[in-house]
Amino acid sequence: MTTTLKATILAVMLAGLAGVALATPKPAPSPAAPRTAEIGKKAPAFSLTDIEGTQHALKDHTGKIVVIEWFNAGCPYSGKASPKSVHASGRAAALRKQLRAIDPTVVYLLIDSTARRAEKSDIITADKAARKQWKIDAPILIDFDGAVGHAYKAQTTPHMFVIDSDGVLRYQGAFDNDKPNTQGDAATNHVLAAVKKIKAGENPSPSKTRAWGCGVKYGT
Amino acid sequence: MLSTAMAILLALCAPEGGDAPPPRPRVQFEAASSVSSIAAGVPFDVVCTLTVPPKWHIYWKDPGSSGMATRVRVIAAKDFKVGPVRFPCPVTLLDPAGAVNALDGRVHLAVSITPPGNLESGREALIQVDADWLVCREACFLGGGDAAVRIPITATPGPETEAAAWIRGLPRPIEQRSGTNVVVVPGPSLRISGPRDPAGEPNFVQEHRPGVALGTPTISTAGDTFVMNIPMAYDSRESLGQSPRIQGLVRFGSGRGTSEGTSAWEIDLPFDSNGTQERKPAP
Repeated sequence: MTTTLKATILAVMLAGLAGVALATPKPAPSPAAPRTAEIGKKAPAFSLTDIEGTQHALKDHTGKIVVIEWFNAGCPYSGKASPKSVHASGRAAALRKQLRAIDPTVVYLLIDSTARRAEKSDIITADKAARKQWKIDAPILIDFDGAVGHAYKAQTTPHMFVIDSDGVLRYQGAFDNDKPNTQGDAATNHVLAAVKKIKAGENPSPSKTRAWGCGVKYGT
Repeated sequence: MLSTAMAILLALCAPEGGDAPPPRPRVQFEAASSVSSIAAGVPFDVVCTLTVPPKWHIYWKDPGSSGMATRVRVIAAKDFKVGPVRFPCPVTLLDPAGAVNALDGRVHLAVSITPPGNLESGREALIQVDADWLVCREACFLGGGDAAVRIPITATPGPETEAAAWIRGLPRPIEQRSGTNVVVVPGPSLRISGPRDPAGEPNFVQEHRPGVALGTPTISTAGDTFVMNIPMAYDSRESLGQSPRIQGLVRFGSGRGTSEGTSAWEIDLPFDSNGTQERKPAP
């Protein structure tokens, strides 16, 4: 086969492929939530099972403010016994109480995307122990494949997200401005501030802060 | 023979996910003076050394996407002026959760201290330091330590100690780098230009400031020089009331300094979108 013939066949094939590509109708834009989280846009949809086996979908909470906290039972800023832990120090419980005082319908969910060097059953066991130890009165959802964590770009435990009653992401970032847990009542809880702003019909400011804590221990 | 080979193969192929979590690592914390004796009014350094076990890391002053900055606190007698903690250049570790600025191996942090001018010689100064850190691998552990440094006071400072050599590789202000310009140009973006470094290609490590967003740098090189452009934006609503500054390190290669000097340089300037900021090159 001559070089010219080869080039002609290749050109015809490429043209054919291009034609197919051009002729193939593009799928209509989906009205569903975007694949990744962005302030001011619909929060990514998810459906996860909690450590007790109950399914939780974001869409189940339409019409309510949803607060999500990324969680790891083995992180000293999250579920591990440590003076800096938001759970062991009682700060997370205090936040949930304050949120309910502002709006009793606020939904608080914890999501655990931990998977590195651990079995899923080990994660669930550790989370159950932490939930009991710290009296966490909110469900802990298991995201073992990390899909939801990656969609939300969750980086730390804790990493907080606030979604308004229309399903729009309004805040993401740090739990508060007191990483070392030394400020006591003088600390500013960014989640509480964001929910207050949303309830007042205003935009949270800041709407994003640098999250702090252990890195989320994704499997991949 | 075949079963042994099979066992080895299986062990090599075993997924890490089933391994037990690593035990708590021991980070060793020590402190030393940069001089063998101090004198009235003459600055010296207290050098804190953290020895991190292999495969583990602690964090730079800006940890990056996760982690916690290593914190050092120095307690000295009244009238001693204590400067900020100077960190070595971090290495960037990529993790599924994002990039972190890590410190590993033997980590030296320095704090400059200036004794008062009326310090009496013949006595001893006591400097106390304490630190806490987050040490991570597949798991994270909080750690802490303290140390005391007793230094004789003499009429003139004593000779340098081994610790003085440890901190020669710490990043220095970019104003001290020969032939290097830092300027904010309309856009706005930060433009850094100057001679290249044999340690490696230039890159930028941002120190996060609320409200200040720095974009991905574009870097061009020509001959022995480089130009780095970093797009900038500022949103006062996200600033948490802090004044906007552009802070970070220009790093060459991995940025690991040597006893001969540094390959990382500090940038710290107020955010000014009008393009009027300029840092003159060192002669």
